[in-house]
Amino acid sequence: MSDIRIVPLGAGQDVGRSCILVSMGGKNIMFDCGMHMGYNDERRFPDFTYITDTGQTLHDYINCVILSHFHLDHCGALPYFTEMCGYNGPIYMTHPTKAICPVLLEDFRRVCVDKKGEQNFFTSQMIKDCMRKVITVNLHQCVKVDDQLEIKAYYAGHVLGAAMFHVRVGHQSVVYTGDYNMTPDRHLGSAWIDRCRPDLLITESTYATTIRDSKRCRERDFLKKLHECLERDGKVLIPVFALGRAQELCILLESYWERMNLKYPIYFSTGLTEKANHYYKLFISWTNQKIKNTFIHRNMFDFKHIKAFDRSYIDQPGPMIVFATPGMLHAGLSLQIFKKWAEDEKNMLIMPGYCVPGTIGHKVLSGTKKIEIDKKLVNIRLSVQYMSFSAHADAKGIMQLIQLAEPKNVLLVHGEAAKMEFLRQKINEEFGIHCYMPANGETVAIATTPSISVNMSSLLFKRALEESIGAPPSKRLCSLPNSAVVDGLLVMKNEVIEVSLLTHKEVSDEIGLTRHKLKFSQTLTLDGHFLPDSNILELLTTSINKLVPDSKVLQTKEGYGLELSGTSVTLSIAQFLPQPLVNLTWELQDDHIGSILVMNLVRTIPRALIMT
Amino acid sequence: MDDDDDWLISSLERYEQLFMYDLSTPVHLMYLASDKGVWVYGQTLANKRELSLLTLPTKITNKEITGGRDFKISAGAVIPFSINCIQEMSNQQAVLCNADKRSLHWWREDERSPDLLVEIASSIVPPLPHHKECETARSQCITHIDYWKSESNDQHLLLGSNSPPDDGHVQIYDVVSHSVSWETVLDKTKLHDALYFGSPHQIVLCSGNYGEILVVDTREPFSATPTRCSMDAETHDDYALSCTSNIIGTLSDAGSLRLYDSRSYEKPFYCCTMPTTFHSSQYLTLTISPYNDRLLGYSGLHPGIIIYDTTSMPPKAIFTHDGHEKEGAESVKVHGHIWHQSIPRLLISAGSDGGLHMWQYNE
Repeated sequence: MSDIRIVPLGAGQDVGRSCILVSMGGKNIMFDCGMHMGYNDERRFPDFTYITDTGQTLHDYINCVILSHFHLDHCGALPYFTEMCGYNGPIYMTHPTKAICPVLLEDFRRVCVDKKGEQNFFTSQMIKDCMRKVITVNLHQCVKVDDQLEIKAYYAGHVLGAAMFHVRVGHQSVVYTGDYNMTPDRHLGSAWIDRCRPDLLITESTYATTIRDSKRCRERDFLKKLHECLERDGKVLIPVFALGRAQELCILLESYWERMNLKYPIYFSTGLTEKANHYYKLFISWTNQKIKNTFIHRNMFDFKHIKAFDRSYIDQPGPMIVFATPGMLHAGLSLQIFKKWAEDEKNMLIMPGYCVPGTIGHKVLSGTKKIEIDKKLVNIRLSVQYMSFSAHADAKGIMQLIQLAEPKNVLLVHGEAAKMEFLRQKINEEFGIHCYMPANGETVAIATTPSISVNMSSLLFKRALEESIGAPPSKRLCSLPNSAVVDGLLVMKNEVIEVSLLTHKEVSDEIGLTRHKLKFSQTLTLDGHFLPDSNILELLTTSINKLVPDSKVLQTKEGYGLELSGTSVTLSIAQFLPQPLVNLTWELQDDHIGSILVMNLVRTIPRALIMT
Repeated sequence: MDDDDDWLISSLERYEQLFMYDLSTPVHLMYLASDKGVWVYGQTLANKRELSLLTLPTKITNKEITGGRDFKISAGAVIPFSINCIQEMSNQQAVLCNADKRSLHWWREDERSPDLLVEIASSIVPPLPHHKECETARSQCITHIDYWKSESNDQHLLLGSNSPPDDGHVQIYDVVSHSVSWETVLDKTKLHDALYFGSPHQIVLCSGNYGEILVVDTREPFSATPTRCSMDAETHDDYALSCTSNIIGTLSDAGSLRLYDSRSYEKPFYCCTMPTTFHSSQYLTLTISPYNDRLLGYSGLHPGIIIYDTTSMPPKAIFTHDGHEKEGAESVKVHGHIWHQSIPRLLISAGSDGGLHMWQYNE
């Protein structure tokens, strides 16, 4: 027995700064390296002192870092970890994550350093240096980190490039989901994993205590509110991040405009459309099937109704929709437009995502009615709508993923502990497996049972299959039932951990040994007073049939003995009277039948005795 | 947009608000806990029985800007028995009627793990004296329940069951003393669907093949034969019953609708036959809008839920919620629907496909 040890450095019973340290088979793997958006001090980053307190350097201690996707709560601390804390080992992520991650990191760095004046933050150069250390992985590609550590990525939905990772060290394995979504949306597919039966599934649980409203209804609400605003001549501002939900909403609006034949102008911040197009064209294989199918004749991201925005349009009269960055209204074009449009009650602000405390976006969502922007007091009269389009698995999705992967244990991260007892009970009742929810810094040790995979010879497999199903194996039926007993020899060659199960003949042929037959014999002496000679064979036949059901007992050619058809067991009468002697012989492979007969045969003959 | 979006587009006009949830397994029973929550009961794939208390989306209940559109699982539990009905009492406890034996079970949130529901009490309810020998038989189980709390904090449960062979059995159970304080037997008469406390001393029920409305004065001696008030013209196997302070409504499994004035039960003031798509009694549901006695919600004989205005004759179907119908899935049935008590035109409905919908139709 050996343990897998897990300690969340972030996202343990919490949402934000995801960072899970897993130790198994002598390897230490760090899943995600995120930032907490709710803090401005050192609590913003995961607590790496857990590692540094061991006295080892980060890259001596950690064998690899694996990043699930580009959201800052999963990757935001990476430049800090590599460039400021000194980790120099391998970092794995998918191609889209590697492409988009630095864009968001740079965007966030600019907000924190350039706008809020924070110090001790990573620089643009650090982001670039950090990204140079990244090794990219493809979906379903087995990547060997070293001789023993192997990783494989699976599609997670959620955002472009998001992946779940299956990590294997020897016989132990762990799946880390990152954030995932079990229902497809307009631009991404749903998460999927094969039945890899890991020892542990570490799953996010953001919406574990939630039953999510359908995506279609969210979209419906979005379209309804937006359309109503335009019909009353209002303007709609949608602050977005450069990539992600913005593209999904654009696809939705584009098709709705087409369907309803609407003419209201829709604008997107200059530069963003091209950037989005670039990434989505580059990573089209990561989008959903519909987009992939239509891509050959039409790129869904080449929008017909959505045009590039020019700053002069801000004061243009009449209804319009504008997608503008940044998403939290803390600077840039979105803030500039907001300042102009906020005082007209006909207008609408739709916030499609989370806003960090301290940003204008957060203030507006908190219901503040007067906000000072650039030393000018702005009255917030426009209608404010918050519509969360974040794509996480809810309670049903988590159960679905457990059903797919069939793990032996489940560990919940990225959620609230106080509200997860029911989910824990449900997982336990439904799947009969343990479920853990450690807090940050708390270690969970999961005992695993080593399993050894054995290659069975085809001859032995055919024989075992025939014995278990009672008929020659067909081409279709080729799996042995769990209860099947296979008699063979385990062979381990040259100290390599590769074990084979072979027939006796295969083994002796392979190692050049002459085969010897081991024959057992036992003489039973019966009491002749109670056994008239003419009945001995008949009595023995009846007794054998009772002891070995389905046996076929035949008389030997000489007429003084019996043999069990299909076995090496024979019985011969050596002497009839006064004390009949029965010679019982059998070979090694029929030892169990021989033993049964020796132990029980005389008992089944009335009043017979073993004399010697 | 795809063809799949047709329904969504049409819904923009028809619904003021629409929320659709896809649960792991179908909801078999639901009960509006308060204006902010709903109890739901269903069986999981592994045949586990799950009871949850869901908090309605805050977008609906408190209208905050950041209000969410999701149901929150406030508390839940895997329960060790099947149930026939749920009734919430005043202190956020739910009374469950066991479907395997004649017992009541009180469940509420665990004080140590507030998202877990735990059983805090249970009680065996005595059957009819001549059915004592089969006390544990499923046929003896309580199938209908209502609750009354008086101003002096007396709490009573109204329990209904059908003992073989079709003897309707009604009991009033005193929650404080955990004993039966009153009971009556409807000799050779089946008790249908729901029963109600009209007042502390008056109960309303529907029974027999003619769907008779029975109004029973509980101050009468035990086992007194109740007054039979009115009945349908034809016989039917099952009836749904709905009741407000002004109106009593019955609906047969063939779609025969009768409305009675609660002050005069002699004969219905409104009779008609509702259109039906199929004949079924399992999930037959009739409800009356808490805002307008003449607006009825009807499900179980049709793939959707239809809202009828009965101010005119014939009744006018003013809205059909067909969101539970799915193309290529004809067998999806509505398992029930309830009206929100304080938000006009807002209903919650459940389908056999695991769909739980909350919708507010446009007038």
